[in-house]
Amino acid sequence: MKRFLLFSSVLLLGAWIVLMLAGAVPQVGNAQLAVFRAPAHVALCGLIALACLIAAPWPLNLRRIPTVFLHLGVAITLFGAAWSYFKGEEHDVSLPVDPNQRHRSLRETSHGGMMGMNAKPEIPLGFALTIKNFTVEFYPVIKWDAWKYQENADESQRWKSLEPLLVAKDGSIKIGDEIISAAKLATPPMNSRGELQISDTLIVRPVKTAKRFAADLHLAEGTQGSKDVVLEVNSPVDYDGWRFHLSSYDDSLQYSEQTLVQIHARREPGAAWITFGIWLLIIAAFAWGFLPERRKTLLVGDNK
Amino acid sequence: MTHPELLQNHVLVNAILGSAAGLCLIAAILFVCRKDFWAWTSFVLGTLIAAAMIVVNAFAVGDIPLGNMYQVQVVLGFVFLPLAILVSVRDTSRAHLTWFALAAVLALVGACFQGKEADWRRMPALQSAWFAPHVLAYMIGYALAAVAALMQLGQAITSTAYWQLCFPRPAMDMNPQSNIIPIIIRLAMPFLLFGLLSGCLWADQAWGHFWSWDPKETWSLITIVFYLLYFHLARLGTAPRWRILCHFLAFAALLTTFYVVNMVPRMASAMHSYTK
Repeated sequence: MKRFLLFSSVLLLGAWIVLMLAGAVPQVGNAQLAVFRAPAHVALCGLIALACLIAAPWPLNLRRIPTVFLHLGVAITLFGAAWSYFKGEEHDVSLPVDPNQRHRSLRETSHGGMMGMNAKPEIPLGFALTIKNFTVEFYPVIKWDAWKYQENADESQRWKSLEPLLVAKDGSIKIGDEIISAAKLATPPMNSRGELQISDTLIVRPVKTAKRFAADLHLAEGTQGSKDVVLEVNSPVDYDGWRFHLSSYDDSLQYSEQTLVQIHARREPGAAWITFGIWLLIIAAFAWGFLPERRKTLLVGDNK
Repeated sequence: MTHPELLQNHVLVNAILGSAAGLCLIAAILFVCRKDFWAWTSFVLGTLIAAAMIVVNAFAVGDIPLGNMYQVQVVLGFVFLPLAILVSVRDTSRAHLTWFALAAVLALVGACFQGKEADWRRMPALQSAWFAPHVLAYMIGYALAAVAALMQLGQAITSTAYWQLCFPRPAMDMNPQSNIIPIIIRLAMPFLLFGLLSGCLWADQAWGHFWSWDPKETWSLITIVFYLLYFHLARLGTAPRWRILCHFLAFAALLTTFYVVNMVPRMASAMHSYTK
């Protein structure tokens, strides 16, 4: 029985590797993801979970507790993942920042849809969600890109990239002997593309990196009553069975006159099981790796 | 507060890293010659220089110095000494010491060839308590797996007929029947698993997905499954050549996760921004 289980495990793990290799190289439009959504992959994961459940207590031995929990952890995690896969739902939505607008349903993000084309169906929330405010904080600029004009070079190589110019503590930068003050860098004559030419050097304003962004949400009309929360990346908000994650934002005003906040909304019934399975796996893995009893067993097997 | 000027002089930075790598190389040679006191001294000095560079990198970026491959490889170069001590506690044979020092050389020399940008800014998703444990666990796991793979390679080479003909006695303190390789892989597994699973918990918080089949994630899982296969083959009692093949494939998958995925632009993801 033990050999049969081990042999089956080897076959299942080998098959899983082959399937994953098939989906490991990205294709245009993320076509490789079809491998992981295919029924064959879902069925294989189910078989692995089943094999873990059967193999876990075999042979029953106190010394094998870490191994038992490792197998149970895999089975529980895959069970939770399957529950979420079949019963869960998730949506990526773009919502405008407007304290007067109450969203009682969501519609998946689709720029075409926002213009009235390819509109996706509305998903009722069962409560009202309002985005009252949105704030972004940027990192300070520490360097500028610079290009030098070379008169005698070929046309395609006239502008030669230089080492980035580091910003001094007072916000100024130095080009050769010339110091460009922070005030000059912040105001015109910089052109609309954020470029400033100083003699034969072109300096380019770097793209600002967001340090933090947050949305002030107002949730109401649900079973949890009315509440105001701050939604940030890495700090999801739970309300009436839904979990909201702040994904990104769009303030380019390309599709709307207001800043759009991109939110990932999901209902994942298996999430708690997955989290439990993961923690079980982590604890069992360290016990398995560091407890000396199992090492002896391995050595016996390894010397065969 | 950042001090990017600290890394402006690439020649000086490479000289410092080169000296650390040189000391580790001397340690590896001295371990072979059984001059343990001087070997440990050299290894400790090389590692202390790597530790000093980690501090310099931290000042340069004003954050945890794990923002790009250069910073990550300096940290990787540092972890080999503590891990050699850990393995020495678990296994009293000294067969592994040379390989730990050699692996540190490879990591530090690799850091010399990486771009030394200091303008890393942690995007909001990376500002998580999971960031440091996730990356450090992977570094520890990768370091242990690298030593195990190097030892396996060394054993494979020294067991060839040609080598036996040229060097009747093994030049290094390596017993082909040594069980230290599975012990090292066994120590690596919890760290590799923690890296993978902490990434899942973090992704759940940040994006609302435990798993998204991102290429880096997929290759990382392939690596773990190869190592699981290795242990199942060992328990099954298959011929050593199958386990050795599985070990090499697992390490190849690990290298793909760590390096190759970063080199292919369409495989490098925004989630793993240090790869850029």
